[in-house]
Amino acid sequence: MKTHPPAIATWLLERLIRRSQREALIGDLFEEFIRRGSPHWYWGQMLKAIAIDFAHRARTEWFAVVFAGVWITMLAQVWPHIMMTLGSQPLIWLGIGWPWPLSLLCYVAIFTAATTVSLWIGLVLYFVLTRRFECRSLLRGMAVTSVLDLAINTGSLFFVGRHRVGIYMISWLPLFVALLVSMIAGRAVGSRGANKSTA
Amino acid sequence: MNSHSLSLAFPSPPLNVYYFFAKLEYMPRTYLGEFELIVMLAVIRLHESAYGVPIVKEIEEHTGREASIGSVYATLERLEQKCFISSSVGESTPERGGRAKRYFRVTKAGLREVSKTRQALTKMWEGLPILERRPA
Repeated sequence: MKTHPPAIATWLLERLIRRSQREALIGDLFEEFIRRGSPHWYWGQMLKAIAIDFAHRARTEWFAVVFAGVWITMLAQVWPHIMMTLGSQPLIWLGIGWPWPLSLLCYVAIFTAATTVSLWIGLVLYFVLTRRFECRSLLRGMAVTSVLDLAINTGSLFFVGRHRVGIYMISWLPLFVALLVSMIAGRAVGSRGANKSTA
Repeated sequence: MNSHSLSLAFPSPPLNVYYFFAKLEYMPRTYLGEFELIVMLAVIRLHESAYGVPIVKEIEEHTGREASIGSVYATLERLEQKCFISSSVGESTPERGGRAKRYFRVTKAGLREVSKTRQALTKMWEGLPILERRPA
């Protein structure tokens, strides 16, 4: 029987759960894991706890939800223009002209860079508007955005393969969630610095 | 007209009026949801040893329904905001990875609310013969 829960799951819990609940909740999960010895159970509980915590934050931080919704809607409107501008750059076509799978990787990298930068701009604007512009908050938010965005674009590759649609058919809902999560994750650092939890 | 006469013409409300509205604004909802009631009853049953793990076990044992630790904590936090339960930090033990326990206790207001909910549910139950029939 395993005596230590998955380190990555605990690491995620330590960073994504609010401070007010973190200590007791992780301790309880640890205690129950020792009894059950099932990493699968631990991962499931970790995901549920993070989802519930984020749902609670989304309810209390309504401005973040509205801002993310407005930003993503605006982004969806200007996205064709962004793509046309990118498409007119010969350097990009050079990469896409490479043999497979390099061309595909290049394609994903371009889209990920474009969506990530768009989300970063939204993130900066949000921190300025909420007067929480701190380097640590911003860097953490940007890191979370990059990881989530890369996961979304890589995940959409499977969709491309299965349904034979272009990767440019990006779904806006995952990007909305990515922006919201990074805003909340960034705010959590800011409030930790101010020695209070984000309730 | 000086400021004194102006204040007499339009008297500002006394401080307790502001206090009343502030209290009204932050007054928590006082009814209990189904899962909230279950969690409250589990905390009452456990007396002094009510913390995350036993609460989840108590719920699973008595209701036969699986409860995640995260959802129980979210409910406990909500109940604490409504002043129905209070919490205190306990000791940390090696089997918890050195992390402290958080013990929960039902307040007097919480007990009153559970009692009120029970009375309301009992009244709603009365005179419903379709629910009194037992399966053969």
